[in-house]
Amino acid sequence: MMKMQVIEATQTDIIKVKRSLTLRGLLDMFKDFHTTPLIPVVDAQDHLIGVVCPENLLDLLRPAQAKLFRNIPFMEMDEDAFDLESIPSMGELIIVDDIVDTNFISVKGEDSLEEAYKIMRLNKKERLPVVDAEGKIVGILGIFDIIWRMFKEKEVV
Amino acid sequence: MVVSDYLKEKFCLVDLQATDKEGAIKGLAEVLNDGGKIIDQETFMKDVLEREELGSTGIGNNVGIPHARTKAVKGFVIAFGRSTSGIEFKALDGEKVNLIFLMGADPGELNLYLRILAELSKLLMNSTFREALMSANSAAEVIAVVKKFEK
Repeated sequence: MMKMQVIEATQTDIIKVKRSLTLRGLLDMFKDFHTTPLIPVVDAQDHLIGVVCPENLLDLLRPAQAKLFRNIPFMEMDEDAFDLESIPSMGELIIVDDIVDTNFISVKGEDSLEEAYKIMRLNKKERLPVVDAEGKIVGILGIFDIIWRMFKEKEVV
Repeated sequence: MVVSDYLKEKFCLVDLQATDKEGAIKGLAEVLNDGGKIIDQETFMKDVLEREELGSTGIGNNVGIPHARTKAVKGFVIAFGRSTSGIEFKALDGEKVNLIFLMGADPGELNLYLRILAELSKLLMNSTFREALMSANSAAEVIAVVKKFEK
């Protein structure tokens, strides 16, 4: 049996952003997203530089803590993220370049779908960026895309 | 408690002599470099100025927070400079900048870096804090002001 490739399940109609986009612009862009987005950050030639994850955005809402507390994960007080102090200047001061995570995992279109699924499970990722041989973004592969593709293979859809 | 964990007296210049943005960043980068906090000053400058090109960190109210994630820094660094005459920063409100906080972090220090950026933006929204920084007479007084206002 032919192995299914990543590209067969990849969503290619995606939103990607540049490093210079402001935090405010980023939040506006993803306001209506109904699931947790994985936001690919690209350069002028569409090379994938990194991704923005919701966790990094949450860091901006959490107060800075002394070193001692940072090293004890369960001491994190997330309620503090919900304090209502207004910091409008952050919307322009922080740009995508400040929050982009450049230490990301990606897969290639011709990789096996089964392998990609294993990588996602192993790294607890719901989505992975898909790139071509030159590192340019091709799309995003989500767990549900894989599930859907499997059902299609079984001719359920 | 946190900005002052990293901002030390020797990294505060209350009489920054620079006349332009690049000069100001250079002046503060030198102070950090002399303090042994930077691995490569030239790369650090390049990365901060490149970040500045993507969008000015002059956030208004005469405040600038130039910053970059860069391999030229080990861990996290922060310096403060005050220019009495003001420096052209292409700020959002078009005004000159008097209070400058220069920050740099190892690309892997994302978590701490973002929290301190957010904390500083919050502190600097407070006009009483800004006025206290403007009237501090020495680096030691700057530190005292920061400690007083941060939680």
